[in-house]
Amino acid sequence: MKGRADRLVRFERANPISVLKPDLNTEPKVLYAKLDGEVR
Amino acid sequence: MNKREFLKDAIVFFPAAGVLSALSSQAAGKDPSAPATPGYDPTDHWYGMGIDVDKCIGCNRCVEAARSRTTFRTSRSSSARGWSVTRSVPTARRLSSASARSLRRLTRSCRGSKRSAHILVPKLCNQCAHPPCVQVCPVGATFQTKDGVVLVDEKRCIGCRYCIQACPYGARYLNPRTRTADKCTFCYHRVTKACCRPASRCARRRRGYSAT
Repeated sequence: MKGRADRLVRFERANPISVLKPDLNTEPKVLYAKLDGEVR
Repeated sequence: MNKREFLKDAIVFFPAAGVLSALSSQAAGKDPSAPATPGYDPTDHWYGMGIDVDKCIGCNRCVEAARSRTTFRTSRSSSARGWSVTRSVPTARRLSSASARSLRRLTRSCRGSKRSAHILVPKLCNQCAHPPCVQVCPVGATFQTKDGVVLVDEKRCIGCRYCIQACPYGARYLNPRTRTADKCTFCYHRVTKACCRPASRCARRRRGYSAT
């Protein structure tokens, strides 16, 4: 996640991003857009 | 040297020589994290994947594509496991717009007075920056490349399944053919050859990041 103009960075800015199980602090790199808050 | 002493020395010598040669060949072997493509600098990239849940319709074409473009996955059940799951969300709670659209697309089920909507959540290896599977591997078969992708060296893997237990996302499985741990590789063999077309083409986006 080094380039600010990258396609995935734009995707991250344009959508509400969430990851699975963020409390584990594993820093997952699969980003889910518009994921329902109930799904973890 | 009589026959008894010769046999005694031979019993000690040959196993020791075998162990030493195995250790030296392992030490002299190539680094598994080293890319096969010349000119590819892994420090210039940091891979991730974006999934638009609202666009996923659960067609499983990404699973089929990943299966067809890899040569090591032969089992249909193992490669399909964990890629796309449905989560049941009670509709009594107010759903987000994405969930509401998924609700219109997908099957609705009624259970008494409660209704539940099945929402598709494609699940795969999350390629964690701090992967617990790497920490628990006793032989170093699971490793993280410099560009952030977690891979498994099946030559080193002994199939102890520690990584399968440690993965909080359930993304690992035991390859029934090789009897070693296996997982999604982010199509690492493709992206390192500058072939950016991912195995999945629908809602998923994946790119390597350029260094600034």
